[in-house]
Amino acid sequence: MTAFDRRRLLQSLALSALGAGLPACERSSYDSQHLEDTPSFTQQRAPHYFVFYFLMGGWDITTLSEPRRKAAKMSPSYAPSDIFEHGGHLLGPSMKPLVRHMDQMAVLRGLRATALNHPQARFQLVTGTFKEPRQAPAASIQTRLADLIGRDYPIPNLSADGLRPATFLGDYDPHLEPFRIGEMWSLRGLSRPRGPMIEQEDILFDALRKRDAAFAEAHAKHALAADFAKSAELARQVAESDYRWRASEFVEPRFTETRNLERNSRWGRQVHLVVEAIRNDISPIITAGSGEFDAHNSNDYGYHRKAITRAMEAVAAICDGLAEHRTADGASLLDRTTVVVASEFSRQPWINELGGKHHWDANTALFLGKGVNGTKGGLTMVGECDEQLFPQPLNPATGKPDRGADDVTNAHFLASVLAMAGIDPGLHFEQPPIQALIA
Amino acid sequence: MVDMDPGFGLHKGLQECPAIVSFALAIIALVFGSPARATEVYAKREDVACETCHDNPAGGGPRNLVGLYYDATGVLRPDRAQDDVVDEMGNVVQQWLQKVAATPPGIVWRYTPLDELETAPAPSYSPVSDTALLRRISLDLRSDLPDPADVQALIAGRTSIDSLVDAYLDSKDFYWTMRLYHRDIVRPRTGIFNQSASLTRISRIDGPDGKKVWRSNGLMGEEDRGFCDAAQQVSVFPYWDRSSAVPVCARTASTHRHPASDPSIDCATTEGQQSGYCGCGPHLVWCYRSDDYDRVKKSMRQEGGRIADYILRNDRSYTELVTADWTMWNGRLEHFYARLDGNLGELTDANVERSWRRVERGPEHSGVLSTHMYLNYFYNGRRWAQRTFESFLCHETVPDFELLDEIDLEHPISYRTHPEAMADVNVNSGRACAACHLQLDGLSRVKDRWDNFGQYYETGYGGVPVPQSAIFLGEEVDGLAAFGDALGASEVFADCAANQLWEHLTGHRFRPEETRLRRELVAGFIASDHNFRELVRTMVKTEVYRDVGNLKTMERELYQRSLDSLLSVEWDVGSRDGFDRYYDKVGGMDYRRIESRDRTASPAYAMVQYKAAAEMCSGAMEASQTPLLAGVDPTESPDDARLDGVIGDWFLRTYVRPWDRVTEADRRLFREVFRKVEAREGARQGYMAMCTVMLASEDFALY
Repeated sequence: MTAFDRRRLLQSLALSALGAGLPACERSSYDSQHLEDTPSFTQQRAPHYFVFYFLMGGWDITTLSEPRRKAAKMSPSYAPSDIFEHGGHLLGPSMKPLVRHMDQMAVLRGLRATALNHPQARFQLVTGTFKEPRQAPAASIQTRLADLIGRDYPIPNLSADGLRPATFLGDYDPHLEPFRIGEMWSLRGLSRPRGPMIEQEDILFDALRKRDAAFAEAHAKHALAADFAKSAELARQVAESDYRWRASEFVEPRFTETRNLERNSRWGRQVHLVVEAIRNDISPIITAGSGEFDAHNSNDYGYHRKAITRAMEAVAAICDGLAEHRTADGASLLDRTTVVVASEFSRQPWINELGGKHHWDANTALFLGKGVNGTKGGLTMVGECDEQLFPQPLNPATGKPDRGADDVTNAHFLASVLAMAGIDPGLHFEQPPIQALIA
Repeated sequence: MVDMDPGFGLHKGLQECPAIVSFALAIIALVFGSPARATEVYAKREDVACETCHDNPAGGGPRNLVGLYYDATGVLRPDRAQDDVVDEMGNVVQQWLQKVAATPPGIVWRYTPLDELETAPAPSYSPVSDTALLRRISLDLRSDLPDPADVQALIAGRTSIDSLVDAYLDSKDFYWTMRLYHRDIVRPRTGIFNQSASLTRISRIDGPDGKKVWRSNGLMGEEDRGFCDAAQQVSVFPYWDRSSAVPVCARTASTHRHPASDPSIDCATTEGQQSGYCGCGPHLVWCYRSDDYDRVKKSMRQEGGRIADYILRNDRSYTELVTADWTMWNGRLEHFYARLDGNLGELTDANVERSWRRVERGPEHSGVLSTHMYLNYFYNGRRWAQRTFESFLCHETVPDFELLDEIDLEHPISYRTHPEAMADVNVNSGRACAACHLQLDGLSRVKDRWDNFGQYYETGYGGVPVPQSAIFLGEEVDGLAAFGDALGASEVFADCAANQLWEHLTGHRFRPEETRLRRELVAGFIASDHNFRELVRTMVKTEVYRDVGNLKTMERELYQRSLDSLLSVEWDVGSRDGFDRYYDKVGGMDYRRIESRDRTASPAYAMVQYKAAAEMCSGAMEASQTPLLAGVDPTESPDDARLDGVIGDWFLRTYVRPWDRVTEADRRLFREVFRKVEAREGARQGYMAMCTVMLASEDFALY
């Protein structure tokens, strides 16, 4: 156990269980006095936090970084007056929620997706490679980061992406297995059992350790037995550390709701999960997002722009939540976090025979926060598509389409993420980072 | 490795296509290593920019009319900008596309025949004890722990493993398990599904008497004209509950197929219902409730498993899964499919409570492959092909540039989005796309006469029969039924079925050291006329299955059923069953996912197992009705002998381990757990603690 003895832990758990039933107005949230009680307020362990927010299904980038006016083979879902300018760049209407954070933001355009079916594009996006048949996907960027900066954590790799997983273990050890949980209440519930047995855990865990050790020894040749025993021990460490306290002592969500984004929606609960998981130092690598963006027909496409806007509002709310909290050195949690926003591919610029938009290989990615080369008062924009929305080559070293320009692929994107953490990406990906994105 | 022998279904050559195209494709493959990059071969040859022929100015990918004409003829017209030439090129391209569409493509995928599979020396196997084997067999075949009476009989020598296997293979639990197993194989996801459950919505409204009455939404204002007054209401036994009559507004209750005021109106059609003259028909069959939609989907998801269930129960050939000209419907599907098929007018006795029964279909049908469910959930040809490849050929479609380069294609394979749509080649013309579509579009050809609502079209675009032939394993198959027959008769199908069952029983697909066994099992399966239950019986007798190292993790359904057998308590987390809430951590399945079950060990799995054990054991010992406490007073402190008796009984029920096989270390451990907790909190919590340790241990989860 850490500095929090058992008695204090149980008192805290009881209080938090009680607190969950109190109206929000009776509990302070994000106020400084409460925050000073939180160990994570001064004891953030990781040097760098990452949030990956994925819009799975393929997003229409003309609503974001590549606004267009209506033309032959160009069918934007908005009026020309919805396009706005910021920092000398024209942006689509779904970017509006992020304006207040554009100082710390960089946009990569002209990314070329090399797979246009959902699962392979998803694997490509986060691992840089296709998945082989009958094999597990390779380790995703989140797992690589968790390995490099998260090993002190019982749960280094937290993921809220249940239906469309975008976090994969690969051949890394089970400690880095993506821990899939959709909201803080589930994490709290899962990390401690209800009922009287919680008081007897010293006896229970001692017995379980002995039994599992005996079983693993009796099946020493069998990898599953060893993996299982290790996983069970990690689970017990979660229970015995201050993790339970961290997973229980969270405040209610308080970001500003919009017409699209309600606190009690699954998107709102994800925002809450991300902010509280970092504030309480539960995990340094967190993945969130949702999978409703595929829009081949008119029904789905009619909803598509709203879904993207809601996602951007969620990202903005995450950034707001992180920016609100300051650690003892005066920096905000957003100053310690890189937020990465992407989709596995985009959508054709024109309306198809079903009234929606099919898949398209030009893509974009957004980066905010630590390690990102922002532009004060403006926006860093790197790369581009041509007028017909075909991605254009780029020189990774200069960020321009000059000599040495090549297709920008997911490998460049992932290498850039590692570089933002000060990690040499050469050991992980074949392509160099895009230097213009990196602070 | 891939077998590229033409005997395995590669389509080589067309009657008529410029050789230059094949040559150029080969050049591309040889010279340019990058899988998905466009090249400038043609641009340089013809001395034009890439955008002359391609939508993308950088080249590659979809071709414009000039590019398609070049594909068709090998000629780049110098006069291509002239309007009349544009028309002429369009006509040539259209004729060429029709010819392309009519040319049977090869069904292409990576497959190694059984006699060419890699082999490795088989290791030595150590058999597990009979009782441990019984636990394993029971969980695999019945999704539950063995009945204590069976365990006792086995220990006493009154029965044998083989006898119990025979009994299990004819039990309701086995058929339940197999329905779930087949649901996993077909994995019906949420479809694109914009058809209502019938023609017009019917709602309960407040009648003039203040009581609820049913009224068709197609007859708005009926209540204003007095047809919903108490004196006018009609009692109807609706299709959704034939045992209880409900009050219905008079006009809504009309069963007239053709209104007297306009006999040309057919009330069993969408147009008829929109006319404002029609009621809801016999038993309100032409109308649907707002909650019908989800119930329909739930029934649809069961259809594939029910087909398999019928095959297994009746020891029919397993090939009927992909060849049968019948299917299984319950009353709800009968109603909904009548709506899709336009046969609601003939459905005069609709009853959604009707049990599952076999329904004969036509000769164009082919088992699961042509069910409304399968066609709808995999709502276009490519998704249908992807699922068919995975479910019945055990082939996972991935971008395979090597395969693409190994195939000598003279033009991209055409693809049709609907029987009445024109075939198109453009989606497959880029390498990045073709790497998957080479596989998917060849197979989807046999489905081209079917739409995603299960409707069959003899003729389609242009009023001509829709081409539906493809080359499968070197032979031409014309349509879905012919493909199903060829598939069922093939070694591929038998091998895939065996491989999937092997994975269910051992946790892995066949490994090189199991190749000899695999060949024997597949040969035996084919020789038995594809008797699936016999295959199960044979597999559970193998050394590999009975090896002490054959370990798998328990999954959601096994936890739910086995803990229910042991404890008889609910495990609620919030408003849901805990194993449903945490399904993804314990190998459960959400059928909206593309991925199959995740059976790997993880800290999250262990946390769910521990939480379930602690909470369910606490609840069970409080309730005192749990089977584990049969004959035990949880408030009384047991003496040592009594305590040993309880420990022994629990080992028998949870691990199927008789007392003489419980180690001394385990006996001491459980005594200690009980006594320590009892000393703190009393006997009841002592039992809770023992139960928690027993169910949260690794050897409960692995079997």
